[in-house]
Amino acid sequence: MASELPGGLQRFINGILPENPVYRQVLAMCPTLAVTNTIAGAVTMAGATAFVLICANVVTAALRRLLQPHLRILVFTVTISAFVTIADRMLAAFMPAMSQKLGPYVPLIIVNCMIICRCEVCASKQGVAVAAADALGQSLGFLAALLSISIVREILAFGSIFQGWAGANGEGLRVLPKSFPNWNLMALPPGAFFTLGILLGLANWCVAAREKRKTAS
Amino acid sequence: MIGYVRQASLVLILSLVIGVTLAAVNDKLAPRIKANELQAREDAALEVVPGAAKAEQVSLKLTSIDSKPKQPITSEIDVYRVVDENGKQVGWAVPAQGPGYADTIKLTVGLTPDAKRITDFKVIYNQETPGLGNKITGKAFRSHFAGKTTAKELLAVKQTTDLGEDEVQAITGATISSQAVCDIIYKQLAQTGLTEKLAAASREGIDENGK
Amino acid sequence: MNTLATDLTVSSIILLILSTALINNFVLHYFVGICPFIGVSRRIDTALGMGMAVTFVMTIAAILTKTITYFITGNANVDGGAPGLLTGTDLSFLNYTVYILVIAGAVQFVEMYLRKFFPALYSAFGVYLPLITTNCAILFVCLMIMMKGTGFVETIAYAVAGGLGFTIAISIMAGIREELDHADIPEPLKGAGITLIVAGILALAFMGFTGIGQ
Repeated sequence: MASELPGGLQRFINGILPENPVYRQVLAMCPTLAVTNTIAGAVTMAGATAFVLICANVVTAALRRLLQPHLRILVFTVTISAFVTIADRMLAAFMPAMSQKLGPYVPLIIVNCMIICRCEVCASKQGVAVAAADALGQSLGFLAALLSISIVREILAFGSIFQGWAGANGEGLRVLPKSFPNWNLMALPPGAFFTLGILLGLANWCVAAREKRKTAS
Repeated sequence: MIGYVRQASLVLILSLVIGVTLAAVNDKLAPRIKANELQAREDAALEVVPGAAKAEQVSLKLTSIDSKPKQPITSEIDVYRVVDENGKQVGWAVPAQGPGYADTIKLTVGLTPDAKRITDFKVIYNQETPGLGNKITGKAFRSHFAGKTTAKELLAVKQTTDLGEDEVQAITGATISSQAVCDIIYKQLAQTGLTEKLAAASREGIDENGK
Repeated sequence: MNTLATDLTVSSIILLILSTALINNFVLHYFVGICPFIGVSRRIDTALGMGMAVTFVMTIAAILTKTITYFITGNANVDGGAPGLLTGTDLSFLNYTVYILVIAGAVQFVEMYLRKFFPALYSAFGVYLPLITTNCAILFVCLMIMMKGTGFVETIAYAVAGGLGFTIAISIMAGIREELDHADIPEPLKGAGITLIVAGILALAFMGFTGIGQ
């Protein structure tokens, strides 16, 4: 059984694009939609999620021989919630403004299906090194997804990028001409749904086109 | 029974370890988180009063004037006495909050020492519509509040000239958010009798310094 | 419009329910409970069953976690911090772990209880119960109640209204998806893509409720 599972490198590569948590597996929709109206928020969220995912995956992999099948979900949940609490406290201590902006979405990482899915699929069956590589790959994939959505949303909504990080008063770097009216809707919930829906469609279209080319050649 | 305990042993041990770890993390970080909150409030206090160099926290006891004053409710409020470099009081910074268009708006309001005029305010927390309502955090809107009275209900109006001492220019497309800020400030200051308390405290403070 | 902090009156409770169910709809404004929204909702009766189950568990979880927070672990989010009434110490760093365990446990007990004593109710929405342990809407309610520091009556109102809002959103979506099955949708958008875009239009419509309490 174990020999059929992909190795560490394969897991790492899979996480980034072929099994991208957002675009291919359609997991972790809640943070993907909620915190992507600015790039700063999206990157912080991806960082916190990566921290939790890597730690939880490593701990689960280390404990995998002790897991009772019917209690494993409980073990996953307790482990994840502990690391989420640590991440939440860290954010509140070192990035108070961002912690306030993300609000309940940091503790909601606990029920991010992407993390529990990785614990179940990979970490409870494979060693610590593979689990770490897998978590790293998935985290990068998640970061890429959040970045792509937040870049689109922030540029269209405010005409600038890196709001809160760059420029005077944290206004960000202007990328669109001043004459571009701010498309406020993109910063609001409907904009999140539209952007993700269309990007998801684009991703599907790319995959389908590539497969068509493969079968043709 | 023993079977159950053995099955659950991993969960139990893990919970214990996690509990201890979290307690340790919390112990390390809690003072810093607390300090962050205080720092944010103090920074806001310094920002809303011109010429401020230092802000010190003062607790005031308030007797709220309820619509049904059967039993006056006393509450405590933490305000900041803001002083300049020489230690002379230049104003007050008072927290205020209330319903906005989307969610609660939290403010720090700057006042003159006699608490009769507003100097400035800073939005601590808001969820107003991006691009419209959240312009209440902008310098342009904030500047309209300088010198306005605290004795009368503030009004957010559309006209841009000939504004009275109780009128501020509303943000185009966000009249409700603008009026919400006015209401929050007025309610906090006037209805609880805070302005008299502050003015009295200022007089006392001056007396003390005079000695 | 947030009325969680104001005095307790009938009108404030009604406003709270309206704003939670319609303006700050859990699915369309806070994006929680998106997974069942995209995955499960295909038929209106299924969506209603799911909505009822979520509302039920949400209310129970909210009451339980509020009680635990109030009496044992304490809440650091209210001004000045509120230690647990019985313990006298601030254990709020344990809140997240406690909440998720309470939710997981509550779902199990509700399922067993319903199966034993209310078979009719169980057949109506019992099958959805195991699915909603990891529904983020449930944890979200508990977290919001902690962060806003609401009282007990508002807690119940908030949880029920939140569940109601979830039911409304998921039922509307199910109705639309029944029609979408017959529509000519571009191949790449089929499934999650078109659901998200429709959800965006719905969210746009629900934005019309904003300011209803003013």
